[in-house]
Amino acid sequence: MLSDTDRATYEWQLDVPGLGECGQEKLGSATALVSRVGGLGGPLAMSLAAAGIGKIILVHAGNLQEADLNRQTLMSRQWIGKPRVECAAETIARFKPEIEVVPVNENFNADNAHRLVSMSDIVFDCAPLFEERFLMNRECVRQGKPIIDSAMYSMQGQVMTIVPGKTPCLACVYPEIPSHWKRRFPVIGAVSCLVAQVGALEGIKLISGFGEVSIGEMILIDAETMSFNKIKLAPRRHDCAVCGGLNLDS
Amino acid sequence: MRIALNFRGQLANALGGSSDQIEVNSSSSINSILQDLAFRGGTAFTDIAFDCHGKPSRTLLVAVDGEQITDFEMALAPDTQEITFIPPIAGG
Ligand SMILES: [Zn+2]
Repeated sequence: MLSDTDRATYEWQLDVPGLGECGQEKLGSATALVSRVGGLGGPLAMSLAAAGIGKIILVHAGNLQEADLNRQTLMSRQWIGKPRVECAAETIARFKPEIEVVPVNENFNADNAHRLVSMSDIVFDCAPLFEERFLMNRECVRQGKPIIDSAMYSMQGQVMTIVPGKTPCLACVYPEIPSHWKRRFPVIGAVSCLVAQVGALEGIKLISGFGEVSIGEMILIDAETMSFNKIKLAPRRHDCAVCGGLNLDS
Repeated sequence: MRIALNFRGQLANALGGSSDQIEVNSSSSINSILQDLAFRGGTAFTDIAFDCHGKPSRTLLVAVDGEQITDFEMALAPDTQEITFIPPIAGG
């Protein structure tokens, strides 16, 4: 049940048709894992906090660098040289102290994958390396947890919702790690932020159970022409090395 | 028939633009279009769209009129309007 403070905080949001108190309660009792708090994961986590998610686990190793400041909007210049994830947690805590934020100064890896996913109801994947994304996909499929996979490059972005057993998983879409992808990619902060908001909204809808989540589709965003499109993904691959063993419902 | 091509991500850089139009015939397939594009885009294109054996990369997504297709050999339907080539991206 919503508290009086919740009702006051989310008064304007509760007016959104379809969300209602029930959806707001679901948000408040959910735990979201956000992998990386950079240009995409940072503003995504902030929008989850604004929407009233109950707990956010922020996963990101490493210290803030000057070149991060064109896009990593949860950071501050004074923080250069210190762990990004702590600055992100502080920024969210200043905004919504009632939300539990767990900063993890590690990247998602084989040692922490099981523990971190088991603590979460939903995973927001915003990692810049496919190795990390594949690992997260494998663990989420194993534990039956949904993933909102958001990615960007230059003026474009894409968002895909993965529901294990129902939609294609990341390994269905990309059966092997793309060899040409480079760690460094062109980025304007406003574009990563735009893609982040689409990913946040897909997750908010999925958790609270309202609206239409793009199941089995990939949302394509083009900030150069300011157009949004969707493509219908092929069904799950029966021979997928990650989800092929699950019962097929699509 | 004339169809529209859209190139996303690094493929747009490789081909010098994010859209184009081409003339295709009843036997054209995604494979044959990719071969034509490879001729135009050179290694910047083939490094992304093809694997080291010269086959279309398994990580290249192709959507025909809004639906991903996985059979690149199949002849295009005569009413095809638009093909979108989507290389994998992971920027965060
Ligand atoms: Zn799969």
